[in-house]
Amino acid sequence: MSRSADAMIAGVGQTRIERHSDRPDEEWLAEAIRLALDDAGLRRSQVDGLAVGTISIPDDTGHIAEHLGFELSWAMKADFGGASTLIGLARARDAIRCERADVVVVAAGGNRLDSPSLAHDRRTPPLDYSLRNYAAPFGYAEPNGFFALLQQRHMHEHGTTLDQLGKIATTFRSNAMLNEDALLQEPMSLEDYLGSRLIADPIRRADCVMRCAGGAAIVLVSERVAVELERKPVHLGAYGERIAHQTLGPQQDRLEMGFAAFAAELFARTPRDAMDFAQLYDDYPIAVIMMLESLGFAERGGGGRFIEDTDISLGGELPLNTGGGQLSIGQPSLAGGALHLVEAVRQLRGEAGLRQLPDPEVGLVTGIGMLSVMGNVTAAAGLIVGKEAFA
Amino acid sequence: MSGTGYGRPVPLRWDQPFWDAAGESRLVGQRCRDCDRVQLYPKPACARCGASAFEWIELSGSGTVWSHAYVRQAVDEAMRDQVPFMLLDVELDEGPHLLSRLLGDAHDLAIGERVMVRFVEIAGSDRPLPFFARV
Repeated sequence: MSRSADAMIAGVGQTRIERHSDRPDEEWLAEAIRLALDDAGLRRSQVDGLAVGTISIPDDTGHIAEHLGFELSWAMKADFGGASTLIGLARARDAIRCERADVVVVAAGGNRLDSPSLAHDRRTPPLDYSLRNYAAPFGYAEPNGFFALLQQRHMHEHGTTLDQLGKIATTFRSNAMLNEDALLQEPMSLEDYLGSRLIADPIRRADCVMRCAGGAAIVLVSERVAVELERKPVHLGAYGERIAHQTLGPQQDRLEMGFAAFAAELFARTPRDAMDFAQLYDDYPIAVIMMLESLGFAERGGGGRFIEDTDISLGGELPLNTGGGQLSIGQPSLAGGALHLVEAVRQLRGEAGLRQLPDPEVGLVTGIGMLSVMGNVTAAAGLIVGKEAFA
Repeated sequence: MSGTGYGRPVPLRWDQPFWDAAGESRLVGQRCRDCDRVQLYPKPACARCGASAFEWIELSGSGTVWSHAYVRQAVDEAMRDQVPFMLLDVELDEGPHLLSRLLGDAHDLAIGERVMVRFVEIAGSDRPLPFFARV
């Protein structure tokens, strides 16, 4: 089989983010898809592939395609929690490379899991067998307890401080204040962070993402489609993922996130110090610290010191979550994982407004998904994106 | 929507023996008959060799606090009348870890403390759950 050139990002769309909404998940998807296709300059009839990131819509993939109005040659549901968008995008890239599709929309979105108006979409965490029987009955039905446990251990074992964690939360807030899409815009000082109410010690209110509603979509196209478009595409570089990385043991290592398994390969051609930004999946500041270690930006246990020693602000050496991240934008269900990719594309196209970095060339986007009873997360994915094609 | 059902284990065929033993206040682990690997939580197949024939071995129930989290506010309505409580990650003396909860209110618990399993039935749990108590 002949192999066509790599897939490219032709457009992105992000709906407004709403704290309270009565719109079910598929309405958010439909709006995000419209916005992304408009942005790409493509017609709905040109779409031949669809990857929907969802863990809440019970309908089968074929039905979702029908509801959203597409006839397709390739479709999938990506159910990898917060990593769903990145993993869906990677599968879509493979599909385009194998000439199964030319225009694939990767979309995610939805409403708060506890929204009372959602009669159809699941309102409660769709817990699997292991979470339902070996975590939830003790009180782990939501991730606060899990991440509190991990943060407690990280602080104990590695001396990670609240000041280091607070630097992440306050820096992201400063970025969010330059992003009109962000729900949390009030200034937050380190004192504000430290004084934030305890939810699950040592996790504070300011550590937790805020549930909200919204949608985001990315249009991935083949080269032969891209050359016909007016807009310059954004290019995909190295990608890696690890699923269920702690299954084989023998001992679990709850503080290892899974990126270490592919980090060397991910950064082999575009090294870490070439990154003009990183958009890291941030449901909690401690997740960012563990991720920086697992990715190899910091040594094991050194994530907190790395944050302390590195300027992660917009003008810094490694700007992180330039749009404010989920911590300050909000977490619109599974679209939370798509916000990082949309922000990366906006930065590379020079469309990030007041928070625009000076001419960024390449950046990193990550996703993590679904907590593991015996380990850390069950899915970790990382992708390098660039303004120019990767060699 | 207090009826989330998430406070209640729903045994499947392959982990029924774990919950049957819990009903008798015994903590058991799943040992593969082919390769002797002991695994918890119970799985439909051995993660090492893939076999599905197990025997269930008695565990001492004693372990060390690997980490803890003091939950003051629960999002899940089913848990709201139970806060505050102390979540645990216990490293059992035999090796495997269990997620659990501390029996009693003990805000001053420290990583490294020794704990012992205590089976308790709580509202909505339908069956005894393996909690842990300080020793």
